[in-house]
Amino acid sequence: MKKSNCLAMILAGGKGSRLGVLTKDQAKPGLLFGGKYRIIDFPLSNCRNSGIDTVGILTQYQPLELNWYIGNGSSWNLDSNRGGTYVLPPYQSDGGSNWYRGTADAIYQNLNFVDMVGDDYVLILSGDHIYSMDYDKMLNFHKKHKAQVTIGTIRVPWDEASRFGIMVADEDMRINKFQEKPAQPESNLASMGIYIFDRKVLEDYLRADAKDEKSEHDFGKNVIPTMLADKVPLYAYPFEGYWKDVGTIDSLWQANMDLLADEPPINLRDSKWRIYSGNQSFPPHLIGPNGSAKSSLIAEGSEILGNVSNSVIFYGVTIKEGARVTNSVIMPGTVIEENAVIDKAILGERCHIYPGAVLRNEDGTVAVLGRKAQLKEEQPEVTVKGEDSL
Amino acid sequence: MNSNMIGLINMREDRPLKEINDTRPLATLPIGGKYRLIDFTLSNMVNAGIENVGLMLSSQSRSVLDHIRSGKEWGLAHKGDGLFYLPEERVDIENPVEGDIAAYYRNLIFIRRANKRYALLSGCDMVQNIDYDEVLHFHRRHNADVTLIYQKQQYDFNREGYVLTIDTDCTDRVRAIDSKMEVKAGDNLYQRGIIIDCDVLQDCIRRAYSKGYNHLITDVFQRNVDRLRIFGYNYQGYAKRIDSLQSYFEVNMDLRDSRIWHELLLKDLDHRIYTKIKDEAPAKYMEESHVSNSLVANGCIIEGRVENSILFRRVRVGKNAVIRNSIIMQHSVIGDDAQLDYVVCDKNSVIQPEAVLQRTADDLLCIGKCSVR
Repeated sequence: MKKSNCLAMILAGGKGSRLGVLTKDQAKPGLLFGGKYRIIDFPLSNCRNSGIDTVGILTQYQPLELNWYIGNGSSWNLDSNRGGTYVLPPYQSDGGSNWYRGTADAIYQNLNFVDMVGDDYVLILSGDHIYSMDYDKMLNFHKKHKAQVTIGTIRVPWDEASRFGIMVADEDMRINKFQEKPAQPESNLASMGIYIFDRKVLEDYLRADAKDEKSEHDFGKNVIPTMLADKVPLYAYPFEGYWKDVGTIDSLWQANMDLLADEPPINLRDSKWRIYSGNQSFPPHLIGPNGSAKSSLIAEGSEILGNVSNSVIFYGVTIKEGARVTNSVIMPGTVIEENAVIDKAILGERCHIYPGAVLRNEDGTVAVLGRKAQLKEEQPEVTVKGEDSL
Repeated sequence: MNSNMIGLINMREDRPLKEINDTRPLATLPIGGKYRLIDFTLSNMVNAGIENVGLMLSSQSRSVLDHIRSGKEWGLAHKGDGLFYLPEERVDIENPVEGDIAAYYRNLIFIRRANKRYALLSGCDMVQNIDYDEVLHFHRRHNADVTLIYQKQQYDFNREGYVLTIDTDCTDRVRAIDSKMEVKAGDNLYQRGIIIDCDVLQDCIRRAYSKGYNHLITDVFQRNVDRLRIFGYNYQGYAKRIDSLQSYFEVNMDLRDSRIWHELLLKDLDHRIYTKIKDEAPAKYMEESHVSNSLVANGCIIEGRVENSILFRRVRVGKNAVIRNSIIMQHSVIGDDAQLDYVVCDKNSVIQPEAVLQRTADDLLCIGKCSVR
């Protein structure tokens, strides 16, 4: 197999501040999802499945856990001798040391790396979304249109268009206009924050942007509008499929619940498009003599002695006799003791729910417990709220 | 951790479980929902810090190579050390000799090159999560030449085995090794695990080979029980040998017991059982599913009823299907309304909708791989 000639750079420094306690001590791309995955598994698996062999991962906020998780990329088969996986934190150089000031600045500070790899194309991704996408198709589109920049786009409902960066494109998908979160959107073609650049063009514009003191060093706000003004050939690649931002408690909960449908909107079981993840070497899970599970996803290493319905149970979870878990997401290593009741909740890793405790928000919002939280019976009134109170 | 011990797994004496598949070596018999039998021995070895493992392959080894490959999943893909495949040599294929002496003799070079002090010799038919590091401590504490692992039997056993006579004055010294046709309750049954000093091993093998002996246990240890310092290590954890369809079925069913599941498969982070990684999604339970008392691997999709059973990776159970007391191996599909009781279904099989396959505990039905019923 020959080298792909397209370097992927994943922006994985996001704090995910609207996720409250769930991202208190880790970056958003490290957030757990779907019983065994982390969000970054999706772009990494997409890279692998698209035939990309070199990936740079730009980390910044709380990177320790993410760095440890990614390791040398072997879990995603991204450790070949033609390429590899490189974690790129901000570093010190002659010019001093700088935190990444924006998405464009993060790539700018790693232009040496981009140059060292030397691929003609650079694919820039965010580590914030759940989706399956063949980047190779987008690269072919880029080449076919002789674009210098191609932006991945998706049609969104018109009433939501004002939350996105909106592209106005001609019939040939060449972009004429870009509107960042417009009050009056002229199109519903939203940017997915996925870009393919010709390397030379990327380098030139990032160098210019770095010198611009007024710039916020953001692709959407600064670099793309400047290129558009310069009449650089920018094209919109229309992606169709599931693409979900899990940036809030509600959307994270909903995206997990989406997986429980008979025909879920994203297929985790496609043997031709596997979603890879760091592996934990857990045994198959155990359903006890009085245990039960319905409409749920249950990962290996869990022990279900109680009753689970409409829930996503990660690896290494224990649900003891008589406990009931409904409409919830239970992250790894959490223990739910006898006769506890959990409804419509997200429980972080290694929580401990004592016997008989009840977790449910009376107002119907999603209840959340952060990592290693404990819940005892003596606290029957739990008012852990979703995004507002965190 | 860097142990001064090599591991040698001898697969040449293990016979396939012919009821399930008479060509698949025992080493790669699927077990416990996601494992192959050899995963236990191999994981036990690496968990004890062993970095040199030699696999003495039998003639049917394709599935072993496919399963283990570089040994990466067990942490054995090193520079220098790691995993060594030791195939049968032409002379042994053309003129097969009984016993294990010749096989060890051919691989003396592996033992010499590894340049470690101790060797752990094992088959791969035991299901256990044993701390070999502890056995090595025992071996050194006794300044032993040879340590044989045994278990005191709880019940009468209708099969043959080597029974050890251990010194009554609590020194753990082995005074006699007897080959018995029927093992009884209270017997100290040898469990096919040996720790031996590499110098002693090399010396014994050379002498035994030159004298035309065949079996390490009977021709070397039994004859020299007074000359060699042979000790018996009493392993008290869960251990069962897979040597029949019955024992295979029992071990699988045992793994549904929470206590045994924990002891064997989820002991602690340093004593995991590793296997080939498949990247399957978590198991999916549909609205109509009823599952109890079962072991379920990733990748399964369950719509029907499953009781007292083992489902391997990527098994599909159709609507209203009822599976009881059965073992369903990877990628098999159980059709809607099918009924299975006491069935062992090999991988990639298809059970047609409404099929009724019902047997009893004493009369298990085995369905070969890739078959359609």
